[in-house]
Amino acid sequence: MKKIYVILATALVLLAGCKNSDVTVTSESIFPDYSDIVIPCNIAPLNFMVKGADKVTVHVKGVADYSFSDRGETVTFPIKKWKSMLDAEQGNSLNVSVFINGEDTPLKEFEWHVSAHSIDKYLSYRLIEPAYEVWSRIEIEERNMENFSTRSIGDNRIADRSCMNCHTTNKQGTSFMHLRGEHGGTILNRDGVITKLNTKTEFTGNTVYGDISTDGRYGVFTTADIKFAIHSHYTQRMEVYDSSSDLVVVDFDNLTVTDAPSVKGVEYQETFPCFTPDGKTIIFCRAKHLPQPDSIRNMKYDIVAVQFDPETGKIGDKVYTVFSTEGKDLSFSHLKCSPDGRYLMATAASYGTFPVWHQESELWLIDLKTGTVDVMKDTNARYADTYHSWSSNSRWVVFASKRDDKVYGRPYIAYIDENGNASKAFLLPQKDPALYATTLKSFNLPELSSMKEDYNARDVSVLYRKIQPQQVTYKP
Amino acid sequence: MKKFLKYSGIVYLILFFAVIFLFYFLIVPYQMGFKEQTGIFISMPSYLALYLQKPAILSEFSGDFLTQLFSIRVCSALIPLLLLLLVWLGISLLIKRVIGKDRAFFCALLPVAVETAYLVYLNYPISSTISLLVAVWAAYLLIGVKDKKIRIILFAISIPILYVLIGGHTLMFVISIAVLDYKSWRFNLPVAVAGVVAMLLMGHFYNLTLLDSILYPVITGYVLPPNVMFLLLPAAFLIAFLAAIFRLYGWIMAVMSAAGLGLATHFAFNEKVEYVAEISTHAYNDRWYDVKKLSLDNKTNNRLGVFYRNLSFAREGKLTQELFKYPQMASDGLFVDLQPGVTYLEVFSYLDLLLEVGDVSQATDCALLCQTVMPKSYSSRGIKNLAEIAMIVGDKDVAYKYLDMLENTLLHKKWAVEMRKSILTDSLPQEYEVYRSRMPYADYFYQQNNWTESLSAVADANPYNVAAIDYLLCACLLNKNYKTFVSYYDRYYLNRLDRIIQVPEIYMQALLLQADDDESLNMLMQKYGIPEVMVDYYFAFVDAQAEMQGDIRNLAAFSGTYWYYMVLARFNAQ
Repeated sequence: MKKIYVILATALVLLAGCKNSDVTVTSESIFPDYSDIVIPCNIAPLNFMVKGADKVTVHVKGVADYSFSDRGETVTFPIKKWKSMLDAEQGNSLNVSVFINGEDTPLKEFEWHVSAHSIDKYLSYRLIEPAYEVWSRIEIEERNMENFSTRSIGDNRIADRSCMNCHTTNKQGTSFMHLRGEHGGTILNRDGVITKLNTKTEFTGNTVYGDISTDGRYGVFTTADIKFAIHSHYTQRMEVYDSSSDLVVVDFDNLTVTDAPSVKGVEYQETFPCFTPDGKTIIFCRAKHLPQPDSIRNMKYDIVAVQFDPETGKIGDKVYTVFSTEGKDLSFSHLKCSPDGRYLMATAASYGTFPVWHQESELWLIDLKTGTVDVMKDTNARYADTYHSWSSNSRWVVFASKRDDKVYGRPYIAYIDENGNASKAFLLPQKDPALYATTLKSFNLPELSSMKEDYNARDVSVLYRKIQPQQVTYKP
Repeated sequence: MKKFLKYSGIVYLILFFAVIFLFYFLIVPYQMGFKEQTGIFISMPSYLALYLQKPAILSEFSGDFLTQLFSIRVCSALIPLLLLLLVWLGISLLIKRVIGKDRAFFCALLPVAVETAYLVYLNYPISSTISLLVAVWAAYLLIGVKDKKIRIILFAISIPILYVLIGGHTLMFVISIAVLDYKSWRFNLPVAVAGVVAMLLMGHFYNLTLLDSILYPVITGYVLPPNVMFLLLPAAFLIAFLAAIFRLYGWIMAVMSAAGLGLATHFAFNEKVEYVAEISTHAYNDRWYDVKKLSLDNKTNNRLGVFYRNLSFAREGKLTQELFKYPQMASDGLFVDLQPGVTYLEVFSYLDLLLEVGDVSQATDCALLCQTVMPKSYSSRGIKNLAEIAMIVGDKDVAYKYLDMLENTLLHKKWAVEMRKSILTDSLPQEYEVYRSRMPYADYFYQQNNWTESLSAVADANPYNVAAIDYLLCACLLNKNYKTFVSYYDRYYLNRLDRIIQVPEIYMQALLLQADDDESLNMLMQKYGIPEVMVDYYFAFVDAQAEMQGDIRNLAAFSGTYWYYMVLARFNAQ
């Protein structure tokens, strides 16, 4: 028995030997940066770490005073105490003071404003290494935003290691997710009824990026021939582009797919469509077709719109320009309408259609009522900010940002007030914030939803392996 | 006689385990050492928490902790040896407790022989041996419980607990109890069957495939024994137990286990894999002298051997000088294809080349791929490569991300701390400065796995990147793509590089092949500045070729020239 103790002690000493002891602690040592932010009243505790600290104490002053303390680098707020604090302080600003190692002077002081607007309870995202050529392990996880629990809703190890992408919801009970591979298809969940569809027809291609109408009847998708190219200059590394792309609308009630001359053809490339909440307009990105990748720097995607008749499922003939990029160093992608229909959020890059690899990418907010554009200076940061998703109440957005280390996308949350003012964004809290330091995965395609997804990774595995997809038919 | 038997038995056991140690230490040291490069152990709670997401918590945690020591050669032999000794001891005591002392120690050797062979495979983790160890000792403890009812209840309870702690080798525990406690078979058998079903269900809960459920922490789909070979271990357990039960002569078991060890290691040993692991490890550790030496001693004409031979010459600036002095595989000996299904051995190798030719974009992609193609998506070597590339391109934030991780490891910490200091003091290692000087400073697009496009893009973006240009030109020459060679030569060398560096002889030899007559010869001499001595040498070759009378040996004096390579290629094709 003594020997076991010796071995354990040796192991602990060896492990302890790995800790950095000569770190200078400054206010910059706090990670994540949760200073001066607006937080939802139902968010999980904003645990943070002070690198190099031995003890962290946090005093929070609002209507009441709260104190939290932890040994080590990380302060972990007890979830019950945190919840009751947020409940009591809804609509208030909290003064937060961070002390370390029992010192009297705070290391940093900042504010938290607790918004009375809650954020959607669930967030799904794809965990993937930022190298897209060989799909070894892809997992789609669903996170409860009110605590730290996660569950897997897609795991390609039990689906022949096939690619999984675009888990998208309309926040009203309908969602889809594409599975690639031999037995792939589009997993559609309509109010708990889960089916697998083959949306490719003789006349239309494989569906990729898409959106679902509020009533869940229609899905609008890009069909694209997606290609990769590498930049010789290391700053951007990779370029993803569509050598051709069109739009299609899938009627989930009748299992038909349709298109229209206004959204297909070789003259233009159409992509990233979304429905307006009333379902009567499809907004999408469009650029004149140019040979790529050689002319990719001239591919500037405008924001355009076309009418849609939800009764007949017909796409309008005339395309209207919402925001033209002509003469500007701009190209739009990832369009998402706020559920209240007031705003359209887009990703703006200098060219092309895959901004996740563009360090200059940032989020823009367009007021559909007034036409004003906000470049969201307080929300955007260095490196790529992309793949946003609105919460059901239109007050929060989650997006993937590479601001921390340039390589790995992480979910950031920002508040949008009634007047369209966007706040400083903050990192999705984790039980142990060091998780971001040790993971080699990007949190890709974050998607908010007020409803829990009805399936899990094992259901997806069964759907992949055992269920034949329902064929969608082309309706001219 | 009894004494003699006792001592000869001890000597036999010592020899048996000495053979295992020597096998790991002398025959497959690089395959064993490679296990460290294909994983990592970061002593940070957020990383350690990952162990809770899968079964085999105990064995994976301890296994990964021990695996990081495998970069030290003696540890990569000694640690498995000690674990195997403990496995053997556990099985021996288990048999002894149930059946009796006789032959127990010999019978227990057979499963050890099989496990010894498994460990040779690159992706068979040491954590699996720890699982086996725990399974055997758990069986030993359980079988010692005298009360039958309590024993059966404990048997049922311990299966799910063990599965969480050690994963798939819980099956060995189940087999051991079911067979050795055969007197209670009426109870044990249903429990054993239910236990196996429970294991599969738990594997399902952990999102594992059926096969992975009973093999975890082994993850199928990587460099492992063929799936059917995994039946050998339960079979060896059964044989060992049955041999003990039926009191088979000790010497028969001794012979069987020796034969088992010999056969298992014979089948597990793959000279090619060991060769590649060795050469790749030398490259990783910057021992380029050893890389070159080994690549020159490439008896099996291994593709990665040829690849590294060319690369080690390129690093010395002698690629063009040495290219045609050795057997080649056209451009396959210069590059690696990154197609789905690519192994990490190839990805690591290609990364070394991409850095050499200044293609930092593809190098970054390669280093990220290294994580993607690893069984557990973490590779210490890949992370180190990512940190190096970030330092070369001057991305401090990115470099810190990886250095933070490495600073929390046992054996990479020192390197990471030194690198952090070098970033802070702006004094990067000299080698990184060389790589940096080759980096593209303009932006062009190219397709992955298309070396013509990528090298010309890199060369266009930095026309003084001689390493990339030489690789491009040499690839054209090796593929006998003569016209493309001339066009690339004119683009990169003519009136540019030829003014600042000496044009390699093989290029001049190739350029001379354009001459049809005296006029064109004079034109070529003028255009490319080809010296007369080279022209005379060419005429000598032409004469020799005319007189070779179908015997290539008559051209031996010209071996190493491009002309000889061309003729030899034609000759071999006929």
